[in-house]
Amino acid sequence: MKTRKIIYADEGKILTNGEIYGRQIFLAESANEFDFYEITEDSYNAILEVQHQEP
Amino acid sequence: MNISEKLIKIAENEQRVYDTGKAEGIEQGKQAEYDAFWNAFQVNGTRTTYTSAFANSYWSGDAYNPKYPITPTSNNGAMQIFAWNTAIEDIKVPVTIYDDVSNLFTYNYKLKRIPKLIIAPKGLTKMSGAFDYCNELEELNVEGTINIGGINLQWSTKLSKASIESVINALSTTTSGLSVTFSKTAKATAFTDDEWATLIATKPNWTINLV
Repeated sequence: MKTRKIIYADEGKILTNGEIYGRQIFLAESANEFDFYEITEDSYNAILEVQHQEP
Repeated sequence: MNISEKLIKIAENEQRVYDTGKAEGIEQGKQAEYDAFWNAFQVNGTRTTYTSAFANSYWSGDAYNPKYPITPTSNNGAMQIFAWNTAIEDIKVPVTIYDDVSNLFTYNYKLKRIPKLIIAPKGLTKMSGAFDYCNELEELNVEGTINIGGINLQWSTKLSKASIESVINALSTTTSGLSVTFSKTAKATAFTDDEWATLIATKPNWTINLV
C-alpha cells in the first residue's frame, strides 16, 4: 500500500518551493515537504503580475 | 380551379422554386468561399507553420472556423498559436503540439473547448503560460505524453472531470520532480476524495498542486 503526502496552506496563504505554488499540494514520491514554505496570497498575486506581461 | 387560380398557383410555385434555388445557391456560394479561404490559409491541410496564426484578437469567434486539423511541423520558438486571443470559444479541430508551447492559449478568456490537443511523439520542452487565464475552459482532451512540468490550469475553475482525467492520464510515468497545477474548485466539483486519490495514485511520480 502506498500513501501520498499532502500539505495544506493556512487560510490566506499559498505554499511554494520557489517554483511551484498551491493551496493544497499532493507531493510526488520524490518530493520533500520541507522544501515548501508559505507566502501570502498578496505576494503570490504580485508574482503572477510580474510573470504576465501582455504584448 | 379556374385559369386565374391556376396562374396564381404557377407563380407561387415559381417563387418557391426560385427561393429554394436561391437558398441552395447561397449555401453553395458560402461553402465555396469557405473552402477557398481555408484551403489557401491551411494549404489544403498541409500548412507547416502556425506560430501565432490565430493569436491576439484579429480572429473573432465567428471568423475562426478552420477546415483542417492544425498540424505544425516547423516551429520557430514558442508556438503561441492562440496566444492572447480573447474571442475564440471553441478550437474545433485537433491541434498537434511539440517543443516550446509557451503561451499556447494564454489569456484565452472565452475559450471553453479544446476538443483534442495532441502531443507529438518528440514531446514538449516548455509549456509555461500555456493555459494562463483560460477562465472559461471546460473541455480539454489531451493525447500523447506530457513529459515536462509547468502546466498550470489553476484559472480553469470549470474544467470537467473528464478533462482533468485526460491531463493526468497523459502525464509521463517515467519523469520525476515535475508538477502540474489544477484549480482547487474544479477538482472539488468533479471528484470525491476517493476518486481523486485513485486518479492521482496512477502518477505517484508527479506533484499535483491545487490553487
